[in-house]
Amino acid sequence: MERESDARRALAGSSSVGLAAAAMGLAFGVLVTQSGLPWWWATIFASVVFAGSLEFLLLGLVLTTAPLGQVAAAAFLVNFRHVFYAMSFPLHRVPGAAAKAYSTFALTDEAYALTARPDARTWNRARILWTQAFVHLFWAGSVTLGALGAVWSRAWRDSSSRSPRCSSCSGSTRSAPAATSRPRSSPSPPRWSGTSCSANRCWWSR
Amino acid sequence: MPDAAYLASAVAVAAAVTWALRALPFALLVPLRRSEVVPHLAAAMPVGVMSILVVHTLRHTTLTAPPHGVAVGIALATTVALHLWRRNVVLSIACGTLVHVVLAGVASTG
Repeated sequence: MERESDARRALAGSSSVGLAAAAMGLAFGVLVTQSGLPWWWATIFASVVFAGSLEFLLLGLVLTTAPLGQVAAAAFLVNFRHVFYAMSFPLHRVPGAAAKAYSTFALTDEAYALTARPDARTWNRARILWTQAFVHLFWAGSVTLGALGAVWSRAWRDSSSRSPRCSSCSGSTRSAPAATSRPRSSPSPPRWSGTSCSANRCWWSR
Repeated sequence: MPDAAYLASAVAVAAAVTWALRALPFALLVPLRRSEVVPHLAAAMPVGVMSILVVHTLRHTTLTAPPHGVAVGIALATTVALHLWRRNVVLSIACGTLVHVVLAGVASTG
């Protein structure tokens, strides 16, 4: 019962920053799908790395197959600000090794902003962990929605563009040779590389 | 297209570095808990960190070329004014974001 009300209060408290993060999350999800990666990589980025601005940078790095040392350096520089959060984040109110592990893993800007407020000084272990879990859920959920939304809207556009005029190309969909065979070192990552040829050719032939 | 093994390694590296930056400072702070400086820093840090985040967010805004950061400036002023007036976090964030999205859309299309 007590645990439930902690969860409910955590949801109410995290919804403001959660919704603000979700707007960015949707955009990141769309970007991952547009970059040509399978949509579920967006979910993995969001839930495992769980650091908004770094994920945008990381997507650009992996699309050019940057060395892992460069990935590590980027992560270090972008997220160095987190070392200061240990000064005031109430980790001492989160006992247990597993709980501490998750709490430090999910110590995002949003989690810090919520727990550093004066009225958060009375929060117990459950309230802090639920708050972090909801921010995590808002982020990973919105990124997944954005990625799937981009997949669905592309499928819908492809199917709606299959008019009689486009019959010449509707037979050989899902190849997009021009986009996927572009060299990895191209300065700008190929956008819409997964777009089927039917959509491409019809746009050009109009 | 990068292969799955490379992508998984890149995600693992980024996650490990990020988690280390978030978790290790706590281990270093334990011996400092008894000092007088740390409680002071703990109290003063939130404002400092939020200021850093604001600068971090705005650092790529160009003031010398059109649109001279007008969209960001107006959106920021809206957020601050609304917050001073209503003291409602959701309202300030939502309206400030909306103003910026609308202005950025206008600036990029026309």
